[in-house]
Amino acid sequence: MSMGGRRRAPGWVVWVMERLMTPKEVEEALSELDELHAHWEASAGRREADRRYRAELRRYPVGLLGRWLRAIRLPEPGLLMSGIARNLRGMSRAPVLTSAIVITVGLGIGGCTAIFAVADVLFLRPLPYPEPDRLVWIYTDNPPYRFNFSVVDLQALREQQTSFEQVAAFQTLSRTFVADDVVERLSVWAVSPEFFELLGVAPLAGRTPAPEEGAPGASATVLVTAGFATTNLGVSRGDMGSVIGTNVRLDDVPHEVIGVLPERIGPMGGRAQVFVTQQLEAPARRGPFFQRVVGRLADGVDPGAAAQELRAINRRLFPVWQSSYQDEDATWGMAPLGELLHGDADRLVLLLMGSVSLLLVLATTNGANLLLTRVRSRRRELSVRAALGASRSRVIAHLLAESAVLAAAGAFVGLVLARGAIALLPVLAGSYLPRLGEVVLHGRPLAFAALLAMASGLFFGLLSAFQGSPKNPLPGLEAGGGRSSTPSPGAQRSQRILVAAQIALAVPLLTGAGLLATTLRNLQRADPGFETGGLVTARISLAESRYPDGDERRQLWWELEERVRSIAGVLSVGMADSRPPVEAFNYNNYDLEDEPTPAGQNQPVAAWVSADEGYLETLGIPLREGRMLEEADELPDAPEVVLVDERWARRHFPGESAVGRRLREGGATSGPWTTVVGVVGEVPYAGLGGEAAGTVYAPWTSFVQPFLVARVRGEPENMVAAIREEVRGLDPTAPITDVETGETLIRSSLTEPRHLTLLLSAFSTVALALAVIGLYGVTAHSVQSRRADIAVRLALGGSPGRVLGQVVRNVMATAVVGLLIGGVAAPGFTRLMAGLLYGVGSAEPAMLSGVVALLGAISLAACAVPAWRAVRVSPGTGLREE
Amino acid sequence: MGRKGLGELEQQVLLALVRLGGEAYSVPLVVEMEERSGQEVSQSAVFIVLRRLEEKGLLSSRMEGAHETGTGRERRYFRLEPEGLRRLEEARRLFERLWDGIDTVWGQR
Repeated sequence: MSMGGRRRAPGWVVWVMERLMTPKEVEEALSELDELHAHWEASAGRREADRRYRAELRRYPVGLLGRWLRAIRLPEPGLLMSGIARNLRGMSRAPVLTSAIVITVGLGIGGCTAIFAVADVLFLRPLPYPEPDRLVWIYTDNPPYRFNFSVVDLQALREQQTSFEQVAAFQTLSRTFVADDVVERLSVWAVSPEFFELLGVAPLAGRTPAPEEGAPGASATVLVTAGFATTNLGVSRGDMGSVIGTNVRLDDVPHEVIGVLPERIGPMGGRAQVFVTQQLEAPARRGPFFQRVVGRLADGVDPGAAAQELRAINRRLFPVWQSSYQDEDATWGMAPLGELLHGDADRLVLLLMGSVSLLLVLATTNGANLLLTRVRSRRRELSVRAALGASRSRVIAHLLAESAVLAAAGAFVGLVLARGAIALLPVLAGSYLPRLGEVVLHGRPLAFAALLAMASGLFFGLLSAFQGSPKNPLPGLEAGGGRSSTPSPGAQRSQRILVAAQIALAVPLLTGAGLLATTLRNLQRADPGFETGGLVTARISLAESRYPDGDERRQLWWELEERVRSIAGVLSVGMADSRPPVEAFNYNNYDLEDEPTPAGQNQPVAAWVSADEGYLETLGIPLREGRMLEEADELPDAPEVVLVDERWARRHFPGESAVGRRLREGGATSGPWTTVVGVVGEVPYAGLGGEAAGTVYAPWTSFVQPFLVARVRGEPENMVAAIREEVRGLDPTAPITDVETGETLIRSSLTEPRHLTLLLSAFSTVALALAVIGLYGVTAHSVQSRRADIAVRLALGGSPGRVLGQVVRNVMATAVVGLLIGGVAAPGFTRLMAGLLYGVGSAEPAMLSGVVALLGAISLAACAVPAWRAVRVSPGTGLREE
Repeated sequence: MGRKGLGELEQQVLLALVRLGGEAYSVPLVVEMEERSGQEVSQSAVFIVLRRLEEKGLLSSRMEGAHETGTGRERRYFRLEPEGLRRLEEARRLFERLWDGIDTVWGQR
């Protein structure tokens, strides 16, 4: 029989036991178990005894937790109210601490709730249309790309499909709207007649288009939103019907208003207010690809079967139009409509969700830590209560009620913040987050906020209750007084764990913010390829109906350029259908003479910019080889020539000259070749840092709505009025929109990375501040509790440096553990931002080690300061205080 | 707060204590309960129940020092209080009332 020796119990079990039982009880329980082990060994053998011993130990935590929970009895309602009132009084006596907890927890809850409300719309809420799971996006599938349809594709789909109740197409256009003295450029959706019925959107007044109104030659019809009708057509809210049958002039063509739509028709329609009925001419070739197609699956049709039918139709269609389209690899595919609307926003929302969750955990940890400090400083009060006969359960209930009040206040602050954030979101992030109009603060997001509040309240409540409720009132009373009482080793340990956790959480946030800031800086410093200073650009739109003839338009633009060039201060002028860094009007496929695309493979694709000879010169894009475009190239019967940029040249002819090479564009297999006559510098059209596949510049100038670019002396903004005047002189109905200078072009293209950087920097600043406060607090406490000890040592001639070193070493060990854990965990978080970075990898070791070093240095300072102050105190003071 | 009846485990522990002469420490209690029921009895559950019964005033306890037990161990002895005995009898009467006449009902089947 093993009498004296204590069997080893698993550490975690003992840890739980020590928290839920008095030391005496732990001792008794283990001793009795030992004795039982001996009994079992004698009666059933060693193995059976060991098994039962282990099983019994594992039962302890659950049993004890049951006992502990049973001990928490909520006081009667009256007592509870008075308890809360007492809590509030107590909190008002410590306003800084209380508001620190409430605000940090509020920030966490608010951020989480706002982002969750967005995630709720994107991931959990179906599209706001009837039977949304039957709605699909149909596209040309050419992995990794999903292209639009051409009119040929659309018509074949309409004629041959049997899987869909309806299919509809739409494209976004811009049209000039003239009313009285207002000339406005509108973003207009051109939709096929079935569009509204397919979505299940009913007009408030009037009707949706009839099928025959989609045929070429039918009279033009339009639906407008109620908002457009009231602000632009002068109809009163109550009398929408009166606008039906009137005409709206779009690009100078009268369109009959046949219906008024509700203000928002959901995410399909974006921010458009005007929906014209699309009329499709019989196509001459399979292209261009401008039609976005949506379908509503017929009731009971399996999506897999529908997808199969789509592929089959495309296979039948391919040989018919092979002369204009050789891409045999591309098939038709379909996906839930949400994917068309969401794009890559899902990833972004996940990243934000990850960041705010880290922040909330940090805030809650911080709240728990602060509360622990407070509970500790009230040990005396709690001990008195316990000694005066308050049962342990009463003290625990008291502490829990206090946490509940704090968490509720935090939730309130959080909801106010979340409300504000949700109201601001469309303004701040409308350009890159879809469906923000649907984001609301009720239902799931509200329940989520409540859940977060309860979880954080319970977390720091239980923690402080564990630590704060005296099992034995005596230690709290024996110590000199409430404030300088020595924290129990257990409380000190949990405070350290919390601080280590805070530091660990701050590492990924700081690393993420650092990576995004580096990305932003890289993008800002990236060479845009053109000179931004003194550049002004704007879109000028003609009504095509007034200038149906391309030659006439070319003459007009030529005339305009002449006039603008003659304005004093204008150095040069040019025009193109695109402008850097994000506005490429067209992407085109082509076949190279030297490298024909084998049958059945995808032809290469590049940004295709139609420009005049002044455009490249005005932007300051340098010529590398060959010649620039010339005015003669723009004439209709001139030989077909193009310029290419260096990226394009490197892509197809690495190490060789691209000049003189020939290609055929748009999938044509016959007709004259187009010759590359020059290579110019690289300019982005898919965004700074975007994936560029090269650019082709074609001399074509019969623009309908080109960008004018002008290089001027002095402030570009000052020239806008003069340019506007010249345009008005030529055609007073042509609106000038999208006015930008070189700087604003770059800046507005960086909105998303700038916002993200700002957000994550704000998060990580809060995280850093919380971690530092926590660390400072732990050191201050540890120093405080060892004041006498320090004083004695100093009085006995101990060197202040050594005493200091010991204290700092002690606390820094905690910080280092946090840093290590954070360093290991950070790459998991930063991986979420892989697609958002430029010029820096998501697992950049230099960034991570930099953050760890910085945090380490800040931690050192945070614990050295209070330690140093303690050492400076004269030994006498420290001793007298005891 | 209304006084609730004894739980099943509470009754078992109290009964075992009666069998052991009204005073015992937990090890023989567990052994006695296991032998009587023929089932494994959880030491942790008994440990917790004993303390709960003490809090309710049905038991009292005293420590016996290491030399008194002669085993080198301290042991906590629990003694049945009059209140405990009373509650046990109450539980028995309740039980008997509940079972009263059941045989007749079954006999008619």
